Order: sequence, then C-alpha cells, then structure tokens
Amino acid sequence: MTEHGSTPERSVDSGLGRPAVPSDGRTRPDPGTALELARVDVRRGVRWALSQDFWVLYGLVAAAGFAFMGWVSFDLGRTAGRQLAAGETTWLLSTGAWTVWSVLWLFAVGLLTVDAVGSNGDLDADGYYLSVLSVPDVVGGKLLASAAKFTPFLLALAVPGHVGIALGAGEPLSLVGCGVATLLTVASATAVGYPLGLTLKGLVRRSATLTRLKPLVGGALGVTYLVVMFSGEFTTVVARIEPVLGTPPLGWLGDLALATTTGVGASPAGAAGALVVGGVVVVAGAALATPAARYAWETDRARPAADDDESDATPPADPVGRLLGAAPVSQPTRGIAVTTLQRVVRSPFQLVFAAVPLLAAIPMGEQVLTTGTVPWYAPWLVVWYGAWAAGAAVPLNPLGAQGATLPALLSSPASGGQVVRGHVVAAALPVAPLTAATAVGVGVLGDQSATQLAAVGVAAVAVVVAASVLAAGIGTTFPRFEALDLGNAREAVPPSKVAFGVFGTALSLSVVAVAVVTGDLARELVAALLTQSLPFDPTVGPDAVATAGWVVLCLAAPSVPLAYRTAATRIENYRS
Amino acid sequence: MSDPAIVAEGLTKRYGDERAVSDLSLSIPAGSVYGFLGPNGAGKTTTMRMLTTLAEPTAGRAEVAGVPVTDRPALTERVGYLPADPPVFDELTGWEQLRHFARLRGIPDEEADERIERLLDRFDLLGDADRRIESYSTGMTKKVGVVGAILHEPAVVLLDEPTSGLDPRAARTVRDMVAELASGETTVFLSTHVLPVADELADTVGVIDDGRLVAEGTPDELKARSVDAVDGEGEGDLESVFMDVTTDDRTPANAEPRDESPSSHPEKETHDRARIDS
Repeated sequence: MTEHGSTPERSVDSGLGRPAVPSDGRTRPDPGTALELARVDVRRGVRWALSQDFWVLYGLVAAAGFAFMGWVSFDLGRTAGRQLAAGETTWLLSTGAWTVWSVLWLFAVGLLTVDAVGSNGDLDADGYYLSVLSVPDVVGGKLLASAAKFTPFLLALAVPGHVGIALGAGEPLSLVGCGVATLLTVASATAVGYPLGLTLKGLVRRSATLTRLKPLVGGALGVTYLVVMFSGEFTTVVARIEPVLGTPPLGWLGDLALATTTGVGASPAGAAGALVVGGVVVVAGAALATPAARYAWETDRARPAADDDESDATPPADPVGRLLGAAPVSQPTRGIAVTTLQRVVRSPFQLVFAAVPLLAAIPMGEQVLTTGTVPWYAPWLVVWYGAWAAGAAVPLNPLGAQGATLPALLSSPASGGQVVRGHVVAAALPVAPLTAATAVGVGVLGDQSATQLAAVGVAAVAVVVAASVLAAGIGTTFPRFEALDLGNAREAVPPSKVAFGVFGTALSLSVVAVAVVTGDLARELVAALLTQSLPFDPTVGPDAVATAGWVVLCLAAPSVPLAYRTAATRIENYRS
Repeated sequence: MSDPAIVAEGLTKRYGDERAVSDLSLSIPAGSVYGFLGPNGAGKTTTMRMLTTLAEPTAGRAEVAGVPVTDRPALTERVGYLPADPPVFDELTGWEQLRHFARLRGIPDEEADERIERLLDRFDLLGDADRRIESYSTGMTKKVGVVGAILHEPAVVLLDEPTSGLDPRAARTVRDMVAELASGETTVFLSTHVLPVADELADTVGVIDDGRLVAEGTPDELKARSVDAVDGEGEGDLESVFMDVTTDDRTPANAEPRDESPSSHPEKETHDRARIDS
C-alpha cells in the first residue's frame, strides 16, 4: 500500500510500461496513467450500456431526444445567422447565446456532481487500483473518463447551433469558437463538479444519518428535476436567473463561443478571460480532486445504529401479515402477498417501470393548477393509471421476479392459484383504495355528479383487481428472467417488453370501454376521434362507440378468469 | 427392507443436441446419505432439478419419497431443496425470509417462529436474523438457505453444495446437521466438491461425469478400487477415485502423454461404471 504524505522511499511500478511512480506525496496525476484508466472506464461504460436491451432502448430514446434538440438548436442558429447577415438584431446573438452557454455549464456541473456522488464516483476493484497506483493517477483517470462521457452530449447541443449560425451568416469560423468553448466547458465543469461530488460523497459516508437519508434525498431531487423539466418550468427558472448568467466570469463562456463569429459583439477580453479563468479552474479543480477523492474513498462507512444491537432477534412485527391473517386467505397466499409488498417497499426501483406514465400527467397537472379546471376524463385517467401501476409494479412478471427463490417457490406445496392470489392481493391492497379515493377526489374537483363519482369509484376497485389478474396471466405467458443492471450492485427484473405491450393495450382498451359505456361525453369524444383518424372517412356515431365498448367489455370480462387460470397453470407446471 | 427414498431409471436430460444427463439410474435407501460428486458441468445440478420437478426429464423416470417426479404437488410436500445459489431475497431479513418459506409450506406463524428460532440458534445466526440479507456474508446467506430447506422437516432433502462458502465452524454445523437428519430417517441427497464431506457423511457415493454415472459405492469400496490402492501405493482416497473415473478438461492435443510403464493400470483407460452392489 502506498504511503501518504511522505518522501518517497519506495516506488510502485504502475505496470503500464511506464517508469515506477512515486508514492503519494504528489497531487498531479501522471497523464499516461490517467489516460489508460479513462480509456478502460469509458470502454466498460459503453459495453455496459450495450449489454442489455433496456439500456440500448433507453440510449435510442435519448439519442432521438438529443437529435430533436440538436435540430432545434440548428434551426435557431440558422435563423439567427440569417438575421445577422441581414443586419438585424437577434435574441440569440445579443444575449441568448451567453445565457445558453452559462446554463450548459451549470447543467454540466450539476450532472457531474451527481455522477461523482453516485456509483460512478466509486472505484471498482478499489483494492487493486489503490494498491498499485497513486490516488492522483486514479483520480486523473476518473476526471478524464467523466469529461469524455459528457463531451458528446454537450457537442450534440452546441455544435448544431453553431453550424446553423455558420450556414446562416456564412461564418464557418463560428465553429472554432464553439469547439474551444465546448472543451473548456466540459473540462472546467468536470474540475468543479467532481471534487464537489466526491466531497459530498465523503460527507455522506461519514454520517449514519445522511447515509440513511441518501435514497430519500436522491429520490426527491430526481422527482423535482422531472417535474421541472416536464412541466416547462425550466424556462421560467432560467428567465429568473438570466441576469446572473450573463455576468462574468460565467458570461465569458458566451464571449469565447462567439469570439470567431463577426458582428455579434463578443468581447475579446471576455473570451480571453474565459480561457484564463477556465484554465485556472481546471488546474485548481484537478488539484482539489485528489484530497476530495481521499476524503471519499479512504474512510470507514458509517453504519446505522441498528448494527450495534447485539441481542438476539425476535420475530418481526409484520403488521400486513397480521392484517391478512384476519382475512380468509391461505398461508401461502399471505406469504406471497406480504413478501412481495416488503420487497416493493424496500427496493422501490422496480416501481420505476410503473411510474413512467406519470411523466405524461405532469403537464396535465400543471394545466389543472393554472386553469383551475379539471377535465372530465381526469378521473378515468386516474383509474387507468391505478390499474396500470397495480399490474406493472407487481404481477406482470410473477415467475421472473422471484429471482433466485424461484426453485424454492416451485418446490413448495403452494399452488399456482395461491401464488396468483398472493400477487393480486399485494397489488390491489394498497393501490385499489388509493386509486378509488384519488379518482373520486379528482371527480369531486371536476364537479361530477354523484352517479359518475360512484361509477368511477366502483370501477377503480374493480379495474385495479381485474388488471392485477390480467397482468399475472400475461406475465406468466411472457416471462422475463434476465435482471437489469441498475448500477451500484442493484438489479431489478422488469417485465418483458411483450408483456408491457400486451398489458398496456388490453388495459387501455378496457378502461376506454368502461368510460364510453358509462359517460356520454366519452362516447362523443371517442366517436369524433375515430371519425377523424380512421381511413376511408367513416362517420362513427356515439351509439356505435357504445356498442363497441360493450363488445370490448364482453371480451374483457372472461379474459380475467382466463388470465387467472393461465397464470395458475403456468406457475404450477413451470419447468426449465 | 423399506422402499428406496429416491429411484431413478434411465433418467436423461437433453438441451437441444447436448446431453446434460444421460441414462442415469440409481436407488437410494431411505434414511441414508448419498454423496453426489462430479466435475463442474457434469450434470449434478441438472439431476437434482429433475428430482425436484424443476426440470422435465427428456427420458426415463424417477420417484422421490414414493412420488413420481411428474407429480409436483404431491412431491413438494415431501422434499426440501437447497439450490447452489441460495434462494433468498436481499430485501428481507433472515427471519422474514424463513417465515416466507414457512408460509409457502402452510406452517402457522407461531409454529414456524419456534422452528426458525431453534434453527437460527443452531446455526449461530439468531443475532443477525433481524438484519437484511443484503448485509450478510456468503456463509450467512447459505445458512439461511440450509435452514429454509429443512424447516418443514421433509422426508427427503436435496442439498446442492451446502458447505461452499462456509467457514470451518459453520461447515461443521452443516455436516452435523446432515448426520442428524440421516439418523432421524431423513434421506439426504448431497452434491459437493468437498470430498472429505462426502467421505465423512455419505453412506453411498456416486460420481457423475459428462452426464453419466461413472462410479458408485460406499466410500471404502470406491477407495479400495482406486488405482493407488490397487497398485499397492498406499491407501486410496476419494480424490484418487475422482481423478481415475472422471475425464480431464484438457483437449486430447494438449493432454499429457499416457503412462506406458508397466505400473499403469488398464482401469485408468475405462470409464465404465464401477457399481458395487450393496
């Protein structure tokens, strides 16, 4: 192990074909070693992302998103470039670009800080690396790898804009300033974000309280981020802090980016200032990263107080188990339900798959808050979402979600029916009352009639239970057993893509059918939508929609017991 | 003589063109310990999965505790199974996991908690039973799995590598537990790489290689037939038997030249099953 802060009396061969590196008296990394570590880290990250279909799909969706934003950036830049060439004033090239570059820098710092606090700020195989290489070398590798991973995202946003300016104004040299500003933004943001993140990591590791609160705080920050982004409040926030964003030294990034674009008034002094200050920040940040890394990595983690209890354990309290014990359910059903709920509560990552549709509800929620009007369909959306969440979170993959315990389940006397009922109870017990209460509450806010409220309340419970059974049947027919690597030694086994698709389609059709059968407005809306969207210009009347709704319900009704039988049989007979 | 606890006749499992288990036949008396040895990938786990109804045989038949392996509902009442990968949920505490196993078997909570407490104490795990399994060491996790396999006092217990990852004290506890089970008329089918475990505990040892049962007998009988014993070069041991009857993983091109000296024994070249009738 290397010694700290002492005159090097022995050296450690890095094993990378380079001269033996001194032990840890220095703070500057060896560039070659840092580059090699960064190369391996980036390669591992790419292979991890490509190794699982979920992450490939996520990457494709993200790439589509960036392509869209790149197009918007290009269009804005091209319009601004044309206006510049025509001698007109443009928002982008008078103040906007400065704001944008400052926002990009702040965003990058935030993301890199989170990256360092999270699992990417840890060392895999730290016992190996820290006994072979010095901390500055390892930190240097981490900084380079992070900068390399974030550079493409920044380029994807900034370069199209400057390409647009270059094409619109006939200023090809505009790309030079963009390139330099991008590299400086990434380098300086990494030099600020990573030491900050590592310091936060060290603080959390030294505090049992912060360690316990970390998932909660992380979750709250994540939810806040999604709400801000999906509600459109992001631009409001940026507009509020715009005066600060344009002031030096942050505002000098805009000067640097536009330094090679003539006619926009970019300050040469500002551009030079950006280079100087940015350079200082990079050097200082890289130097501070080493003590920050030691603060994070070389510590004993705080243990929760419960670990100090040396007394023998007693039977766990199990309130849900006692509640179900009073109900007419079998022991195996009770066991499945209790264990499933415990797992969901303690490892809520699997709820991510059920929470995705909530993103679409954010704009609707914002609209309700700003207009004060609740759309008539809102309670039915709540019913739909409650049914979706109940099915997707728990029973949509009953075989695969067992993981290593599947052999224990299959070699137990628990029947397939008991296992299915256990999953349905686990899903419906918390979700059905919550969905009913929320749907009725939303209906009250929307001034719906008592009949409508009763219908939506009853439908909520019925649909949640039915959806849970349906999900079990679909999930056992299309199981998935491969776990999804969520990083930081966390895994989850999501339902299969086919199960998601079939379940979502069946559920949506059923909920729409219930809505059109029970509500005039729903019938008319669906009729109008179908008339507009179907080929050959048919005229679809509300009565036809109601008939179709009844047909769907007549088909859906037997599908629930069929799904139950299918799930029970497949579980009982499952063999590899 | 009582009916055998485990009977297999021509048990075969194919995955496509690959034979994982080929024409396996054995008969294990009730209340005995059967040690099942074999190299990695020989077919031990596949055999156990067929005997516990988790895998469907391609051919052949088997009965465990008098129940055909095609009758899962009846068979699961009588067996306990510990897979090589302990069947636990990381999110649960040790006690919660065992209570889950007990509930799957229909055991009332009060009775289950009594058994859980006794067994956890036996395995020196009672002090950690209210911690989540994700914080457990490999050995502790394995102990939870072992307890889960015997919690319902089955007639037949199948244990896949029960002592792997355990420290010597915990491994001794498992071995004592196996011996105690056998003395109480529970049949134990035990797969292991730890040859001394099989030597100490097993009434009968079977060696599987490349899907075939290549040797079977009491430990003493097998040791007596090992090459070293036959050559008079000392007492045989199970390791020698294992080496004699199983193939090397190396390809023929890389294999060491055969020993052509007079001391080489023709039995080294055969892989016929050396079945010793009891």
